Amino acid sequence: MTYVVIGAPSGVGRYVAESLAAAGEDLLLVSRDKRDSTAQAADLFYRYNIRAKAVALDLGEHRPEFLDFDRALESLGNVNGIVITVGGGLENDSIGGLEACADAIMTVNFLSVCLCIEHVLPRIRHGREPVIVGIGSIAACRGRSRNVIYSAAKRALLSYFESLRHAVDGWGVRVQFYQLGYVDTNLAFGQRLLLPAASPRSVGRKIANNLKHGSGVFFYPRFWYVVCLLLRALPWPVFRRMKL
Amino acid sequence: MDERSFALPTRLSKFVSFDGRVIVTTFHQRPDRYRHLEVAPESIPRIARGGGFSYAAASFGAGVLVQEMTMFSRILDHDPTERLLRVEAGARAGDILSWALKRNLCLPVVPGYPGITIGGCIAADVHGKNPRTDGTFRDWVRAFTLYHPAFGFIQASPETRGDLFDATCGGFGLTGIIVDATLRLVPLPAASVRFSSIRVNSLQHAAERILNSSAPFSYSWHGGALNASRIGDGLVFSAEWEPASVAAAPSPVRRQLTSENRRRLPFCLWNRLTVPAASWAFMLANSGRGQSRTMSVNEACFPFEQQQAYHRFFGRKGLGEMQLLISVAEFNRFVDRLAAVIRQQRPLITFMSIKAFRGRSRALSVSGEGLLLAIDYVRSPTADGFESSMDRLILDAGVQPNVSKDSRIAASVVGRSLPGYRNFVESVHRIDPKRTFQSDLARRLDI
Repeated sequence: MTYVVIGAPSGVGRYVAESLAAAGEDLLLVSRDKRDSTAQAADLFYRYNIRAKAVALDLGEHRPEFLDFDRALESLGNVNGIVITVGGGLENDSIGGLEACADAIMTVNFLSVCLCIEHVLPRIRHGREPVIVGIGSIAACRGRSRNVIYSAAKRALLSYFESLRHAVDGWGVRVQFYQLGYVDTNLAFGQRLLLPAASPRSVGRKIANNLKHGSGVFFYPRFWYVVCLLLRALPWPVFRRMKL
Repeated sequence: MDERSFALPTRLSKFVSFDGRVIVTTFHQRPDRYRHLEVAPESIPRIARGGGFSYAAASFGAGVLVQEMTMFSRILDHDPTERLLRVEAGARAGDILSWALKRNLCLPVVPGYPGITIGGCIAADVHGKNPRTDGTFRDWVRAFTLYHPAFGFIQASPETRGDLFDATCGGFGLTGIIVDATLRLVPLPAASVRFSSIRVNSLQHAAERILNSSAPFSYSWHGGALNASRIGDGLVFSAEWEPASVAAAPSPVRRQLTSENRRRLPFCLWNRLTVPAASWAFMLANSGRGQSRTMSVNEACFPFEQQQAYHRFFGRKGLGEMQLLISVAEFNRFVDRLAAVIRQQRPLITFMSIKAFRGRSRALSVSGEGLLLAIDYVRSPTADGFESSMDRLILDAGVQPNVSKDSRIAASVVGRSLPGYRNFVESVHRIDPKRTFQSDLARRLDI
């Protein structure tokens, strides 16, 4: 069976791909720069003896070009699932600085992800135990003065995944959405974190191991569910004073 | 310049040399994509960092951007016919050895710690357990890819860019970032290794045994002693390949030793009581019934992996190490002079070791043939006098210091004792005229 991992060579995607390869699954590894996914495809082939193909796809573009992606998919046969781990923010993502960054952040975190799923959905629905996985962020838990568009995009993505789950309910497609807390990737590197960061390896392994188990929204690490509940429940006069 | 000057997430991190002597807080990046290597401007001084095991502060420096390469750890190509393996430079030597062993292959030269990266092995031109027959790491590198912001990614091998190859193997990362390397593997001779030991009572006696040994690898261990007359008491270990595999490999160590966690103990546990006691216990454990034992290849390659307490006991103050290449003809005379220095300065030596060596580095590593003598000691005010005396002895006796093991040795000593120093400095200035690649080691050695 083949899984597509978008954003495979780095962060959480790297370890999702590694866990799937260790389980003997064939992979289509997608990254913006083909050098990265080519290196990863070779590594997973030599370590786990699986079929792995590399392809470049830029989800930072308004209309991603799927030609190479489709060709690579054709050569791998049935697709069983897609895991999209791309995302990212920009430093000036705050009120007053959005003109320069809003478009780019919204595209990579939300619009392109939706288009990508839309593109792959017809192939996935005929797979065996098909699954679609998206990655959200606890940043979307409650709007604050930092990461304004990033949080909005992740909240929009959550809404999209709810709609997707509703739409494909009768097709046997599992739809999983992970609300991730701090993860020790380059996204969090150098940031002042209030709580410990999970290792991307543990997150990747968790996502890969859970592919065949249910649909819905999952918090990881799980304590973030409680943190989010508390943050949402905080009265405004208290929340406004918090430096988050 | 602050953290916001960089295109890639950057933070300020504290870096410590493995011996604990050099501590610097500077800019730190963890690139995990090829374009991350390309985004930092040429004007920002930088250095690549692997596992961070260098004693000599080779992978960081004040105001220098440290680019940690550990995410570049993938296997890129394997040619089973030619037994060639192309790996990214951040791959750990231990992981690559494990991968090779499963395919009945072996890395002929393996450093002492599994966490040392392939890039680190090239940069320090490390040696393994038997450099006399296997040479140093550069002898097993077919080619590598180097990144420098001035010329991008470039392939170098002894045939195509010999100058770059020579300056990079043993060049401590000062020619650019080693991105990947093609290594020559050899067939694994046997499934395990049988070690046997024999007692010796002097360094000269140990050297004679090692030089006359035909075992695949042979080295000595000499424990710490209270008086200089007994400094040579020790064991010579010889290893033979053993066809039968060992019953069970040792369980993996839960926590890797790093330069940071090595110094967690706030005080030093090695003193004039514990050093002789530990030496006596080690000698007892490896003599008599413990004289001969069989172990896995992994265990044989990484003896310190299972004995982390030795380094951790040095605590926050850290340790000192010297490794010197001495010609065979001069060895006995050198040992007599060393004994005189020890008698006079009374450093607390925790152990010494001898290996037979052959290397042909043209950069900052030791080069030539002879005996490699390693000396570990506790850092203290008495050790300062010992170090100064040893610097004089190095120059007088014409021996070569291994700069990767010594974080304090000065350019004045290295410049006059390492045969490749002058050529190396010229090469680095030709390859990297703007001196983009910098480190504490480079500055200390006037490169």
